[in-house]
Amino acid sequence: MKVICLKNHLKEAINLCEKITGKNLSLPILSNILISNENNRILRFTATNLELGIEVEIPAKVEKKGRVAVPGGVINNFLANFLVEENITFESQNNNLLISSLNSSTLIKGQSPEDFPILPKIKTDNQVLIPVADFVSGLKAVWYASSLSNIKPEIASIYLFSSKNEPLTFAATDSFRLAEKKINYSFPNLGSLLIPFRTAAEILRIFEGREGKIKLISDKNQISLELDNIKFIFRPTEGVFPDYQQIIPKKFVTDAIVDKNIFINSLKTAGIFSSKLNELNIIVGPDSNSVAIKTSNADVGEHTAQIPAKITGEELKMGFNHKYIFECLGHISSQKILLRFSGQGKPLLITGADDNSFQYLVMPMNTM
Amino acid sequence: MALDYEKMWRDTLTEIELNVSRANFSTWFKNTSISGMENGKVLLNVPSNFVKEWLTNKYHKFIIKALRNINSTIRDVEYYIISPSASFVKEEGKIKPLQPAVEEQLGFSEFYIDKEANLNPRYTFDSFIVGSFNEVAHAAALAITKNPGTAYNPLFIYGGAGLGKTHLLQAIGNKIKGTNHGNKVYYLTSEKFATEFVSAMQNKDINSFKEKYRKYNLLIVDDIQFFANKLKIQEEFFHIFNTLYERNNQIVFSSDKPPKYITGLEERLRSRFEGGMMVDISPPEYESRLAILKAKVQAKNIPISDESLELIASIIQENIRELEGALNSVVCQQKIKEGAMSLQEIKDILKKNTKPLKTLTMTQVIKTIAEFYNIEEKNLFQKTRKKEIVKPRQIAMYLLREDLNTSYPYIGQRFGQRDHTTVIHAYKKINEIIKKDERLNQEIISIRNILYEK
Repeated sequence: MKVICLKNHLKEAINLCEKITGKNLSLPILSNILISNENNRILRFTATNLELGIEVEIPAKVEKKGRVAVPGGVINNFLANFLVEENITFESQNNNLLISSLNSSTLIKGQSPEDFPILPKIKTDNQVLIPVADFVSGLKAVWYASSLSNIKPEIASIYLFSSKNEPLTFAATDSFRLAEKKINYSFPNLGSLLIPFRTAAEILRIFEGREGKIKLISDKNQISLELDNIKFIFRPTEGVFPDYQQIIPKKFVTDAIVDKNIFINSLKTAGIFSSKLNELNIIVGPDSNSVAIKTSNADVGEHTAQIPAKITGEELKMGFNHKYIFECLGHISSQKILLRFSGQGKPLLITGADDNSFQYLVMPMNTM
Repeated sequence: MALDYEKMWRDTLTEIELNVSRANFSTWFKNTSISGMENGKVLLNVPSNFVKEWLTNKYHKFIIKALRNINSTIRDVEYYIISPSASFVKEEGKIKPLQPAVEEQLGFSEFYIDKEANLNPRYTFDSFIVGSFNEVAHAAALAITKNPGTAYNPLFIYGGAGLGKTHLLQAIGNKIKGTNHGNKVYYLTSEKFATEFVSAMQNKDINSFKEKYRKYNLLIVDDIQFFANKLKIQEEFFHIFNTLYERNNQIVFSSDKPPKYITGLEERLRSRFEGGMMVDISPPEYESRLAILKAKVQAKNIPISDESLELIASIIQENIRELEGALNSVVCQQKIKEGAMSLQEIKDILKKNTKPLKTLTMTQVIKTIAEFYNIEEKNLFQKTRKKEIVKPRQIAMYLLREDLNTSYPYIGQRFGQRDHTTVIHAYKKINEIIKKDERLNQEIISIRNILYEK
C-alpha cells in the first residue's frame, strides 16, 4: 500500500476510530486500526471492539493498494503532536506502517491485517434518513436519564420510536425519572429500537456538530448509522421498553410556571447546599406568587430561595433529587418552564410552558 | 437429540481448539452451539454478527471439515445469531451500578408489575433459593412450567406465612409467560377474586366476569384459605375451575394449610384441590436461611460481614420475610452509624425488633388445651380413662414436656399425683402418633398457634 493524504483528514479519521478500538487482552488485534484502500481515491479506516464498529473514509491519492493494521493509541498520539502541515505519505512494509513527510520518517509496528475482524454487513432495505441535528438533539435530550446499571438492559438504553401516526420519539428512564423528546415528523417504517446507553454516548461524540442527513439502517441484530464518510454500526438492545405512557399522570393538583434562567440559576446555588442524598425541597404555596426551594446540608449550611412563579392549585411541599431536576432543564427550549405536580408521593412533570416536544417526569423522594 | 448436538459440537470444538490460537478460539467460538440439522446442513447458533461474519469468512471450511470428521453426512453450515442469555450478559457486565440504592428516592412502580398478568417480574426461579425445606415444591413448580396443564393439575402449595409461596407462584407465572408470549396468565389473591365477584354481582355483569376467568391458560390463586365460608363465591369458583381443568389449563393454588384443614370449604371444591399435587413448604433450616441472606446481600450489593449474616440467620428462624426485615434493619442501622456494627449490637437490634418468644406458663397450656377440646380443666386432673379425657391429657403432658421442658416427675405431680413413667409413656405415645396421624398433628399445630400467637 502506498497513499498520500492530507493531515487534517487523517487526524479526524484516526481520532474517531481510536475511541472505538477494543482493549481486549485476549485479542490484541482489536486495539488496532485497520487502514486499507480498494478504490483509487479513498483510504478507509476501520476499528471495532466487537460491540461497536466504525468505518471512516477520507480522500487520498493512491499509488499502490493494500492494507495494514496499526495500534490506534500509537498512531493517534503520533498525529496529535505531529507538526508537519499538508501531505503525509503512508506506506506499508510487511505488517508495519511507514509514515513519511517532507522532513521526517516514522515506522509504526503493526499486526497482520488478516486477523482484523470483518465488520458485519446489514442486508435489509429498512432505512430512514433523519437530519443529523435532530437525531443528535433528540438523543441528547434524553440519554442522561437512562439507567446506568446493566441489570435491566432495556432501560439502560434509549428508546427510539416512530410510526405513521407517531412522531419520531426519543425516551429514556432509570425508573426514577423519565425523559421524552418528540421531533416533529414521523417515519412510518422506523418502528422501535433500543440504543444502548454507552453506544448513545459514542454516537453523540461522533455525530454531534455535523450537518446533513443521517442514514439509519436497521435489522434485528445490527444497526448502522451512515453520514457522509462515516459509518457506525452497533447492536441494539433486545427487549421491550416499558410502556411508559401509562405512568404519565393525567391529572395534576398544582401547576407552577417559572422563568427558566432564574430557575436554573437558583438551582445551581441551591445545589451547593444539598445533602448527601441530593435532596431539594420544593414548596409551592397557592397564596404566594413564588416557588420556594430549600436545601440543607449538616456540614455545609442551608439555603432557601424564592423564585417568582404563577401558581394554580393546592399548596404542596415535596422533596426531590436535585440532580434529577437540574439535568433536564437545559433541554427545554422555551423561556418559561411549567412544573406540574400530581400530588404527594406522585411524579412531577416538567415541560416547556409553550413547547410540549419535551416532557420530563420525576418521582419525589420519600421525605420522612 | 439436543444432547447429541451438544456432544457433536463439543467434539468438533475439541478438534478446532487444537488448530487455532487460544485467543481466536475464545473470541470466536465462545457461546456457540448447534441448534439443529437439516439435510446435512448444520444450523449453528452464534452470539453476534461479528462472530457470524468472521466464521463465514475465515473458518467456514475449517468448521465443515471438523464436523465431517465426526459426522460424514454433513455438507454445509449455516449461522444464526442468537443473543446470549440474560444471565450470561450479567456475568460479562463488569460495570457496577453507579447510583447507590437510595431507598428515599421513589421510583415508577408500574414498571415492575406486569399489568396484564398481575405478575411482579422480580419473582423468578433464578432468584428462588432452594433448600431441603422447599425442594419438592420447587421441583413440582418447575415440572409445571415444562408441561403446563398436564404435569400436576392443579398444583396446591401450602405452608406458613413468609416462606416463599407467593414467590414460587409468581415465578411459575413469569416463566410460563416468558416461554410463550401467547400464554394467557393471571395471578390474583382469593380475596381479590371475591371482591371482583361481588362488584360483578352489583353491576349485574356476571357473564363477563365468568368469561374473563375462563380464557386463561394459567390461573394462579394465592391464599385460597380466604374462600372459607364464602359459599356463593366457592360455587362460582368451582365452575371456573371445572372449565379450566377440562380444557387442560393449568391452575395453581396456595394456602397456609392443606385443603383438609381449611374450615368452611365445600367438599366438592376440597376434593378438587386435592386432586392434583399437594406440596408443602416448611420453615427453612439454618443453612437455607444463610443462603437466602447471602443471596439478598449479593443482589442489593450491601456491605455486611459473613459473621453478621450468620448471626441473623441463627436468631430469626421461622419466616423468610422476617429474615429480610431483620437484614434491612441491620443494614439501615449500619448506614446511620456509617460503619460496621459489632455482633453484640446486631443482637441488640434484633432483640428489639423481633417478637420475644412468649413465656408460657403451665396453667396457660392446660387452660388452652381444655378450651380447645371443650372439656373442663379439672377433668384433666381426674383419674379417669375416658377416651375424650385421656387424649387431651396426654397432649397436655406432651406439650408441657416438649415446649416448656418441664420435668417428668413434676408433670406427673400436677396431673393428680401420677408416676413419672406415666408421663414418659404419654410423651412417647403422642410423639409416635404425630408421625402417623395427620389429624392429631394439625390439632397440635392449632393448639400451638393459639398458645404462641395470643
